[in-house]
Amino acid sequence: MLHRLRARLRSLWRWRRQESDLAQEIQFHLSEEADERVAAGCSPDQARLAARRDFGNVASVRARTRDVWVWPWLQDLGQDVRFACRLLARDRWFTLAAGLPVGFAGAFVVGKVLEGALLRTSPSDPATLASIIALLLGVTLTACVVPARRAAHAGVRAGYSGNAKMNKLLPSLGFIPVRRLSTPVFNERPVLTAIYCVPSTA
Amino acid sequence: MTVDKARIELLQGTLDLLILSTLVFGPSHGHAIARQIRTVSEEVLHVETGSLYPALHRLEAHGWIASDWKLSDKGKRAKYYRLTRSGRTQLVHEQSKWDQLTAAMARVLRPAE
Repeated sequence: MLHRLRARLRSLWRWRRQESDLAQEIQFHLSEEADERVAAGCSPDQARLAARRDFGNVASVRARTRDVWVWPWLQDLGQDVRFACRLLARDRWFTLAAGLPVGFAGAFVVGKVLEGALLRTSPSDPATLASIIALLLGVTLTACVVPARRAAHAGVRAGYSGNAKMNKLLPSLGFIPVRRLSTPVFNERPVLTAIYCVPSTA
Repeated sequence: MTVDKARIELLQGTLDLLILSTLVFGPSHGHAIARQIRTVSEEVLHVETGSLYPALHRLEAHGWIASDWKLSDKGKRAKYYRLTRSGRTQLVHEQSKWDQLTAAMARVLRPAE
C-alpha cells in the first residue's frame, strides 16, 4: 500500500521534472539557434529575436510534447483504479460498513440541496430511497453472481490459497494447482498464491 | 519567414526514421538533430520544432531512444538523446518499410520502363 503510494508520488514528481526538463530543453534550443546567428554576423538582440521567431509558439510546442506523456500517465492511473477495486473487493464488509453511513449522510445532504430543484417529489421520499438502494444492491449482486455462475458453467470448481501451509497440503489431497502466482491477488504483500482446481470425477 | 522552393514537407511518420538514423552517429541534442537533418538533406528537409520535440519524447517513451543531461561543447547543459538497443532494431524495421514504400511508389509512378 505504502509502496503504491510512493510510486504514485514518484509519478507526480516525474511529471513535474519532465515539465522543467522540457522548459530547459527548449531554452537550450533557443540559445543554440541564437548563437548560430551571432556566429553568422547578427547582433545578439537580433539573433535572439530571430531564434524565437523561427522556433514558433513555445507554448504550443510544450503542449504537443506534453500530450506524449499523457497516455502512460493514464495507464498508471488505470492500474491504480484496478488496485483500489481489488482492495475494496477484499475488504467488502468493511467497505459496506464504511460506505453505508457515508452514503446515507451524502444522500441526505445532496437531497436537501436538490429539494428546491425537484418538482412534486421529495428527495428523502422512502419509496425513492428504497428503490435506489434496491437498484444498487441488484447491480452489486449481479457483479458478484455473474462471474461465479460462469465459472460454475465451465465445470470448474476452483479456489485460491495464499497460505504457505495450505499450499503444501492441498496438492497432497489431490487438488491441482492451476496457476501459481508470485504476484498478489488480494494481498498487497506478495505471497505465493496458487489457484486450485478440484479434479473432476468424470 | 523565408520560403525555400526546394523545401519539401516531411511525410507523416518519416520524422521518427530520420531521428533514429541521425542518432546512429552518436548522442545528440534536439537542436543538433534538426540541424543535421537539414544539412545532410542539403536544406531540403526542415524539421519544425513543433514536430521535433513531441517526436523525441514519443521515441523516448517507446524506449527506442534514451536521454541524459550533459554539458555541450560550449559548456551549456543540454539533453542528449542516444539510440537504445531496441531503437536500433526499430531503425532497421522502419528502414526496410521505407525501402518497400519507395520501391512501390517508383513502380506506380514510372510503370514499365
